[in-house]
Amino acid sequence: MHILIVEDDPKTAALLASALRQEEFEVSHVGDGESGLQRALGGAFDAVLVDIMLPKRDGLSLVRELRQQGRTTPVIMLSARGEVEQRVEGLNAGADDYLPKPFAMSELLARLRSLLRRNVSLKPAVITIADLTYDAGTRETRRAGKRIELSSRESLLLECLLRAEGRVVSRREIIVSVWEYDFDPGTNLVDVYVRRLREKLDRDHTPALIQTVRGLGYALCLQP
Amino acid sequence: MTLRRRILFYYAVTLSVSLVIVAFWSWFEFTEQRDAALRGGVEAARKHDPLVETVEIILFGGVPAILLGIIGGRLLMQRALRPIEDLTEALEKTTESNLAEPVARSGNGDEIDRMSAVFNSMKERLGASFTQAREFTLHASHELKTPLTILHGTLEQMIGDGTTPAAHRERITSMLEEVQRLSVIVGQLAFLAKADAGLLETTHGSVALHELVRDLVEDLTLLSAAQNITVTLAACQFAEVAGDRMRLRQLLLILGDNAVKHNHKNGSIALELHQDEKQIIFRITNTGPVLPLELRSRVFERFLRGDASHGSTTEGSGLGLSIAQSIARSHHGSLVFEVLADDRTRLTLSLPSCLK
Repeated sequence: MHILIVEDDPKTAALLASALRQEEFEVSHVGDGESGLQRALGGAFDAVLVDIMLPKRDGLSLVRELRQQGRTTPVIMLSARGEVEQRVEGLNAGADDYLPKPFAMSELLARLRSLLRRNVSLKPAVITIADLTYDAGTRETRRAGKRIELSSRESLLLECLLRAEGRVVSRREIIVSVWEYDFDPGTNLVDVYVRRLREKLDRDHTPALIQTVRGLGYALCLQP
Repeated sequence: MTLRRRILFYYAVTLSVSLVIVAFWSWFEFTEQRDAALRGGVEAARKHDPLVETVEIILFGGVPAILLGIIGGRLLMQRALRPIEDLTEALEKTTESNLAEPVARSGNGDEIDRMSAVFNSMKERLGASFTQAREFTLHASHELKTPLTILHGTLEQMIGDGTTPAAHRERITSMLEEVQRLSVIVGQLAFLAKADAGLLETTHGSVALHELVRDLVEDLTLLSAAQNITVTLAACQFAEVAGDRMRLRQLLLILGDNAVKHNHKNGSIALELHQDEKQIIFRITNTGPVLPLELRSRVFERFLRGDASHGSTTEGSGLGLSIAQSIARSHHGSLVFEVLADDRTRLTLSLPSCLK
């Protein structure tokens, strides 16, 4: 997988590159919008990460131009101006996703993976891990064959963790997908819901499936 | 003409007119006396008692002159002082939001006009410094976001890196948590700076507030369970408001979270939502430590935390209520804080109603 990074801040670019290389992506980097556009048009990239504020040509215009040329390469916009209008503007210009700074690297990787996968496979309706099954259509949850009653937010939370396939999910990702908030509520809402979900899923069963990864978030997987 | 000269001029005119009236009446009386003397001789002239004549002059000449002096003087003074009143009125109407509009000037170069000019330039400088402070916060919060991203990402990588010793990992994790806290504060500051500059988005649709309140009750019940706080929804009338759904949710969650954080064990939180033709009222009342009297008028100030002096560990940046107020104002509503007679704390949100 080959990713193009268009970012003028060298430190951010270096960090993105090293995080992506660690995940075994191939990475190219350019520092301004114009050469970013040329590279994106010229090379066969699987995805492009674009900062909005760029010298020579800004990120919005880059994506617009890319789309006008008929390219459908997935694009994630990164911006320090993390406001709603900016998000809408970015998506309207043709970006596939928008990530406001400061973001967690794990979140960027998650979004990138889900973008790369989007066209490949459809999400399965029934997800299974160990003896836990979850039906995304009916929201029916069973552990060891026994039905577990979940509130609508609890099942959304479970689905959010399951879709990550064992990867650590940050609090912000959870807030966005379960509560659909575009702001950080500054409460321990997420932790409280996870605790409740854990109580319902893991209390009478082993192994425990919901893992807390301090500082990063939560993961639903079998502890190695 | 200067104001001093103008008042002097008005004064002189009034006095002169009064003098003319008195002079005219005296002339009239003296002429009458002379004519009587010419026509009827000494006998006729003697009929005119000097005392009566004097009283007549005072009555018909002096009194109108005095009245004219009073009424005219009053009118003239009023005219002379009108610019001062206008200026005072303009000063009274000056708020943080209309600093850009200058006060109307007469342009005649008098003291008042000069004062208006001085005031306008002061207003301009005040406005500039307000804008500067606002822009500073806005830019500062933007500029902080990139370094925070780098810091966050680097720390994340260090945690994920297998070669980091376990002893360091603990410290890095706690650094990461601080970076996250910092990110939240920076985001909140950016939000407030935007709200102050009047840039809060106005994507207005019709929002069912009663649904948001029910959602809030569900979240609060869970959030407060650890402290065994009772959450009751006393009333939840159907209430639709024109506004931004996300911002209103944020506002409600801030109020709810505030009621949980500033509460005590086995306390209570009561919520109610009413709507009438004019407005929608949402009240949230909670038990908890009473805010000292001197802090009550300052609850919406930034970074103010009621129990900071008590060494409380209540988390939060101290920006929540300030944000809540900004959102209420951007919806043409208001937020009021009060302490009830039974020491409970109440926040009342009023929003204009959509009902016709």
